[in-house]
Amino acid sequence: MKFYDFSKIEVDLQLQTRLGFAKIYSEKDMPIESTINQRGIAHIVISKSPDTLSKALRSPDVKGIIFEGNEFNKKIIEKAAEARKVILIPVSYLLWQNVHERQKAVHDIRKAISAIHKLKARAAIVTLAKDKESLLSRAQLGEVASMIAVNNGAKLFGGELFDN
Amino acid sequence: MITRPRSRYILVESSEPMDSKDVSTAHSLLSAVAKQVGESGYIELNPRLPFQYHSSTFIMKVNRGSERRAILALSFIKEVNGKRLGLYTIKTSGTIRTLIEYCKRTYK
Repeated sequence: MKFYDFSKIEVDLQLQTRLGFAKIYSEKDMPIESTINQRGIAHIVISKSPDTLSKALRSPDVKGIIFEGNEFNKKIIEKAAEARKVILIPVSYLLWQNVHERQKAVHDIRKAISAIHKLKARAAIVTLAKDKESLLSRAQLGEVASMIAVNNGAKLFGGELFDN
Repeated sequence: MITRPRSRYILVESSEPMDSKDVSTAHSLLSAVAKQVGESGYIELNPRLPFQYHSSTFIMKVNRGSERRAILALSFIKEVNGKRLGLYTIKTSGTIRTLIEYCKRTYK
């Protein structure tokens, strides 16, 4: 099985291989935008607004969505499941939080993952690292996924992103 | 009968140069691990730093069965000896020799 990650920075190919990923997507491969762009380029939409995410799910250019600040919405998850779009769940920010903040964030993600499983939506746990300090190897991302989603982590992490 | 605890070796790469043979750096790193896993976890892990391959690659030895816990703990360590960095676990093995051979093949 091949594993993929998504980060905001570009990672050189050798490091991608050493980290154990077939590919680490960056914003250069697929831009992350806060609104739906009409330029016909495949992109990912990140937003807190359910309306924006709902519209994004109807656009053929949008390949995936990110709930900004991991503020999940069950209705949007339902729509994403119908549209077969990927829900990206960023985790690198958890690495910088203190234990109390992290506990709350993990609880929220766990609840969302439970809904994702029930609705059979497509989702992937990714780092979305802003800098090289936030990057994780495949083994580390797997452990973080297991920490968040207990038994479901392994199924979610690193799956086929964007129908490679 | 007392049996010798078996070990697992984790190849770790840091985003910034880091000398695990330097006493204060090693102490800082192991303290950070202890902070992540707690005192009982630290005894269970029994982490040691037996080998430095080059400026940013070193090997961590832990007790067998606790390597997953060590990998997770290393993910959350973002500062060693006052230096901001990220630690990536590249490979895990039962022998140090395998990891050194992997390093020779990978880091040219």
